[in-house]
Amino acid sequence: MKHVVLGLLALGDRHGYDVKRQYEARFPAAKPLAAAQVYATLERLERDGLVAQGGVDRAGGPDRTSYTATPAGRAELHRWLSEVEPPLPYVGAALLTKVTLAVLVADDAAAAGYLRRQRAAHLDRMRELTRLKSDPASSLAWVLAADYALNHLDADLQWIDTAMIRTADLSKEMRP
Amino acid sequence: MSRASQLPAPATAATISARGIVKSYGATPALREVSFRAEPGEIVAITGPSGSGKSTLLLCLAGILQPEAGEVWFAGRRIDDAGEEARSRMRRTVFGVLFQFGQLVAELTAAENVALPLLLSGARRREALAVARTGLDRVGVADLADVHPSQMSGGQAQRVAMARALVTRPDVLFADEPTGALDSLAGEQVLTELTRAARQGGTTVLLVTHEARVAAYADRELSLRDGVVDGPAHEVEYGPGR
Amino acid sequence: MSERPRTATIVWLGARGGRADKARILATAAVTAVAVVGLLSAACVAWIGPGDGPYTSNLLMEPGLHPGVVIALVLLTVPVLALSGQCARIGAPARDRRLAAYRLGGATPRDVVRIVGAETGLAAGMGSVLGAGLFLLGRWLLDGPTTVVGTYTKTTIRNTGPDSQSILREDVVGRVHLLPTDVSLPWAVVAVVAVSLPLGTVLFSWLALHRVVVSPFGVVRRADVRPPRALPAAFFVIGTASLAVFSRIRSSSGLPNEAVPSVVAVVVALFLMCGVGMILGIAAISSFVGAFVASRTSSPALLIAARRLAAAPYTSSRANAVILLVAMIGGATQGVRANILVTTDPADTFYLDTLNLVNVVLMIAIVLAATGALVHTADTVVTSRQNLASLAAAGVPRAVLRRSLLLESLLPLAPATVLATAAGMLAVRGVLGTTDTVTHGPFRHQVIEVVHIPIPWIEMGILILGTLATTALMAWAALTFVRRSTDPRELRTTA
Ligand SMILES: Nc1ncnc2c1ncn2[C@@H]1O[C@H](COP(=O)(O)OP(=O)(O)OP(=O)(O)O)[C@@H](O)[C@H]1O
Ligand SMILES: [Mg+2]
Repeated sequence: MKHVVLGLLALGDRHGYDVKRQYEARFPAAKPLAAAQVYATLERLERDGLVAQGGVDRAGGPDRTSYTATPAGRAELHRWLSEVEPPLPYVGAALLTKVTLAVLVADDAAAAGYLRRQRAAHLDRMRELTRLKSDPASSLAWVLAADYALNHLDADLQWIDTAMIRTADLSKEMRP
Repeated sequence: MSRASQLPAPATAATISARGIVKSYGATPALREVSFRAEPGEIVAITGPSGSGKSTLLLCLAGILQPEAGEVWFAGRRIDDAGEEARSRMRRTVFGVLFQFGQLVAELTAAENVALPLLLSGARRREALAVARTGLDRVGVADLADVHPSQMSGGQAQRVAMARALVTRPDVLFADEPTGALDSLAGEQVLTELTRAARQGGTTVLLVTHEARVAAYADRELSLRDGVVDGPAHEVEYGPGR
Repeated sequence: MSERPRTATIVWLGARGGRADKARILATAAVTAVAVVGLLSAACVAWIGPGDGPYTSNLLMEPGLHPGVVIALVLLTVPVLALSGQCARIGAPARDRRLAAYRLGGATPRDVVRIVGAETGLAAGMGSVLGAGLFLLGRWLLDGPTTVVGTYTKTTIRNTGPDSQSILREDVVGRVHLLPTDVSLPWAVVAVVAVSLPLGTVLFSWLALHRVVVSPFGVVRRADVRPPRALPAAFFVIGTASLAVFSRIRSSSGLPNEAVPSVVAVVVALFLMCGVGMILGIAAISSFVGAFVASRTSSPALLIAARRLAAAPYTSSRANAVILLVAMIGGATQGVRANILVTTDPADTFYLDTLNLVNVVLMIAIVLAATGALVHTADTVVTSRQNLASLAAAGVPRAVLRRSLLLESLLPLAPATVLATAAGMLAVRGVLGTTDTVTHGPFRHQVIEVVHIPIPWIEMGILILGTLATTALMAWAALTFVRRSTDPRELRTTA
C-alpha cells in the first residue's frame, strides 16, 4: 500500500483525493481504495520522512494539502521496485481450502459439483474479460488488467480441471 | 449458457446439430452418443481434456469423418450419410475448416491458397485471386499475397489459413486448436479477428480447444470427457434443425 | 450445389509442385521417352517385310529370328516401365501432403484423381512425344550413315518339291543396313505406341491411387500398414523347387518329353509363380533381415539402416523387385547358355554371337533396373531430409549416414540376388535337365554322347557381383544429395 502511494506521488505531486483518483485510473479493474486508507498511509509516510507536504491548494472547495515524494521516498520506492516478489510462499487459496474440505467432509460428488459450478463461474468471468479486452475502445490499462486477470483465472481453471480428474484419487488418499 | 431450444429455428437456417454420435477408432471408442446443436451465428467452444474426443466430434460434424451411429444435420438436411463427393463439396462451400497447422498447400502462394476453394468450385483464376486478396486484406496480411507458407511465421500462416476458411463466406467454421501452435499474443490476434469476422458474417464457429482462455472467446462451452458430454444431462439439449 | 473445377484449374494444380514434383515429372517424361523408343524399335523389327534389307546382322536377316528380337526388345521395356513406376514415387510424401492439403481445401476425391491424372498424363505425354520425335528423327538421320557397302548372307529358299525345299546361303557384297532404318512403319503403329504408353501410365497412376485413401489428413497407404506376409516367399520356394525337379517328375510320371502346350503352360505358370512370389516376398525378406540385424549389430550405420528397413520393408522392396527379377532371368539365361554351348557345334559362331547379344541385353537390363535403385536412394535422401538433418544435427557423422543409406539398399538385396540367380539357374536345369545328348560324327556313323551340362559358376558369380556392384554404384551416386540434405536449414522443412 505504502509503495503504491509513493509510486503515484513519484509521478507528480498530488493531494490525498487525487491519489485515490489516480489509483483508480491506473488500476481500473482493482478494488477501489478507501479515502481514509489513503490519508492514513500519507500520514505514516510523512512520519517516516518519505513524503513531505507541499503547497496548499485552495481552488474551489476545502483546503487540500498536496504531498511530494522526498529523495528518501524515491530511494525507498526504487529499492522496493528492484525487490523480487517471493513466488507464492504460502499455498492456501480459498478455492483450494474449500475443495479439500469438500472432499473431506462431504463426498466426491459434492466436491465435483462444487468444482463444476466454480468452473462455470470462472469461465463466465473470463468471457466477460475477453469481451472487454477485444473491444477496440478499451484503454491499454484495461487490456493489461484483463490480461492479468485472465492469466490467473486460466491458472485457476487449469487447476480445477486437473482437480476434477484427481478428486477420486484425492479422496482415497485423504480418508484413512 | 444459451438454450438452443429457446431460439426458434426456421427451416432454412444454417443450424448444425448432431444426435447420438458414436465413433471409434478400431477398439478405441472416441465418441459415445454425443448430441449437440449450434444456432446460426453462435460461437461454441468444444473443450475437454486430451483424448476426450473433441477433434473427433469436430471432424464428424464437418463431414470429414463418418460416425458409426447417430446423425449429423445441417440446414435441415442430414449430411452424415451423404457421399464423400457431396461432403467434400460442402467443405468448400458452406463450411470452412481451420486447424492447428499444416492445412496450407506448401507449393502455392498465400493468395493461391486462399483462392483454392473458389477455384475448386469452378471459379476463374483472375476472379478467384482478386477475391482472395480482399480476404487476405481483411485479416491484415495483404502484403503476404505472393509469399509461400514456408516463409511465413506461424501466426501469419494461421491468418492466411483463416482467410481461406472464410473466403467462401461459410455458414459454419470448424476450428481445431487454431492457435495451439502460437504464443499467447499471436493467438489472441488470430482469435480476435476470427470472432470478429464470424460475428460480422453471421458465421457459426465451432472452436475446439483445451485452453480456457481460448474457450473464453466463445459464447458458450460444450465440455467433453471420455467421449461423452460432461455435466448434468439436463443441460444438454439438441435436435435436428428442421 | 456448385460447379466442378475448370480443366485449367485441374492442370494447374497438377503441374504446381515443388522441386521433387518437377524432378518426378522430368524423370517420368524421360523414362517414357526411352520406353517409346524401345517399343517403336521393336515395332520396326516386327514390321520388317520381304522387301526390306539386307542387313548386316543375321538376327534381322532371318525372319524366323524376328519374334525373338521383338520379344527381347519388348522385355527390355519391362525394366524401363518398372523404372517409370519408381519415378512415379519420387517425392511421393510431398505430393501426398499436397493432395491432402487440396482435400482439406475442399477438393473431392474425384478432383484428386483428375489432378493426379493431369500431372501424370502431362509428364508421360511430353515424354511420349519426345520419344516418338527422337525415334523418327534418329531413323531419318541414321539411315544414310548406317547404310554401308559390305557382305551379307543371302538366303534363298527354293521349293524343290511338294514337301522339300532347298536352302541356299551365299555371301553377297552390296549395300547393307546396320539398322532397320529402311522399314516403313505405318503411322498408325507410331500413333498407337505414342498414345497407349502415356495412357497406360495414367491408368497405372489411378490404379496406384485406388489402394490409397487421400483423406484431408494425409494419404493412407493401405498396403504399407500391414506387415509383410510370408506366403509369397512360400510361393517362391515351392515354384523353384518344382521347377528344379521338373524333368525328374516328368520322366517318372510319363509326361511327354516334347514341348507340348500343356507342359509349356505348366513351366510358364511355375516361372510366373516364382517371379511373383519373389517380388512380393522380398518385403518379407527386407523386414526379416532388418529386424534380425537391428537387434544384433553395434554398428550405428547398420543399426540405422536395419531399423529403417524393418520400419518400411515395402519401400525398399519396390526398388529391388525389378533388380531381382532381372537377376532371376539372368540366372535362367546363364543356364540356357551353358546348355546351348555344350550341345551345339562350336564352329558355328551364330549361337555364341546370339548368346553374347543376349548377355548385352541382360547387362542393359541390369543397368536399367539399378537405375531404379538410384532413383529410390536419391528420393529417400531428399524426402527424409528432415530426419537426416536432425540425425546430423545430433552428431551422427555424414559418413555413417551415407553408409547406412547404402546398406539400406544392399542389405536385403545381397541375399535376395543370390537366391534369385540360383532360383533361375535351378529352374532351367530342372526343366532342361542336367544332361543332354549330342550327336556327332559322319552320317550313319553318328555317335550319341551323353554330356553333363556344367553349372556356369563363373557366369553366375559375375552376374551376382555385377548386379550388386552396379546397384551399389548407382546408390552411391545418389548419395551426393546427402550433403545438401543434412544442411541444418533442412530442419525447418515441413516433412
Ligand atoms: N486416427 C486415430 N486412430 C486411432 N485412435 C485415434 C485416432 N484419432 C483419435 N484417436 C483416439 O480417439 C480418442 C479421441 O481422440 P481425439 O483426437 O478426438 O481427442 P481430442 O479431445 O481432440 O484430444 P487432443 O486434445 O489431444 O487433441 C483418443 O483416445 C485417441 O487416442
Ligand atoms: Mg485434438
